[in-house]
Amino acid sequence: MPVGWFIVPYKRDLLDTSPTRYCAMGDFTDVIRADGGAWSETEVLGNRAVVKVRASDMTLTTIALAPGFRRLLKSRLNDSLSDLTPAQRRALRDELEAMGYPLSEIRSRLGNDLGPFTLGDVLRFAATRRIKPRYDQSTDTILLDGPIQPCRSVDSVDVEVVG
Amino acid sequence: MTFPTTGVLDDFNRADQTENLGSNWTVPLVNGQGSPGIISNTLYDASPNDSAYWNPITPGPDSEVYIDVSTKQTNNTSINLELRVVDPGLTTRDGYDIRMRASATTDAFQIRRIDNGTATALGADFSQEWSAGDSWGFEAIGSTLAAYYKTGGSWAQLGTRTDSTYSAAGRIGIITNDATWRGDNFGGGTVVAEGGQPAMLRTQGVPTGAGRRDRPGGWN
Repeated sequence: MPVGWFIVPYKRDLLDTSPTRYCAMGDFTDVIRADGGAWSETEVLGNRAVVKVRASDMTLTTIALAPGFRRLLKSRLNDSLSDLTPAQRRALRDELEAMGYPLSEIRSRLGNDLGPFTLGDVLRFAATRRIKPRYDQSTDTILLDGPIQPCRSVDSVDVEVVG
Repeated sequence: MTFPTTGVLDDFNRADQTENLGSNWTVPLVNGQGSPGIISNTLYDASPNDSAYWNPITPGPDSEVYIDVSTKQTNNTSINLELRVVDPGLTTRDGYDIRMRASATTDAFQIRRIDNGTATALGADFSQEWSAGDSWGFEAIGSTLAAYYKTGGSWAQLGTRTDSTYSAAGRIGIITNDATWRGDNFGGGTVVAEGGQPAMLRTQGVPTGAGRRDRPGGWN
């Protein structure tokens, strides 16, 4: 069964009486399971998760259309990014910036062009850190302004969802 | 897989109490909540959204917690078990949680990380129907968090999640969010290694038999 990597936002679980958020891939759990598939994630910066999904091609295509979801163009961590167009590589770099990584840090780790790197290189960089959340009762919002915390490794996500 | 490895801590077999579980419990576990109570020798949600933690021990870091379901909760409400909790009762509460949410479609277990009192679901729910007489369990060994369910006398692991954010010992406790639900035989502690005895039993003089799930230890 095919697999796909996604960058996915977190959502507020409004059914819960306490402040709760979940990876929005959870909205597709039933359809993924109906395919005999599975998903796993690691939280990264910017209230986002890097998610690996095993599901039918049709389901992966449907998921990619969800608001705020981005399907990455490679499916294995050791896939080279060299055959992506410059615009596609730039879009991937922009995704890292949108998470909150400074361009200088991206360039320091991955250079000015992602061509020489693999999908795994980029996702491992994306999972460099995340921010500890807290709940602000006065505004009923979950804020991400706490100390830096480590992420679950992308490689452990990779082995949990096998194609 | 052996679960649980520790004994019952509280069978709630004592006089009815409104918003009071006795001196071995501290309330609330969740900042701003009230205290569960005891009715007909079971634990119940005495006011909307109650929580408490077991205060004689700080299990772990490898720890487990479990409870029997005497009466199932109403749909769209949840009961939670927590472990490795630090700063219980404060807005800075950290640790891990398993939420058992009843639904008109399919009941589900959800493993979550708690950061500053905010829950973040870890992966997908585990779909599993339950009913009165069943039991729920939660275990943390290293960075592996496991959901357990018992029906018909046999425990089964529903699945695991991986998170290494909170690796230290912490409190175990319960959150109740439904007035219909009743629970019994709250248990847990430091996970006992195969053929061994939990450190907390060796150091705190728990009554004989407390390490056995079938013989309540008489803590209450």
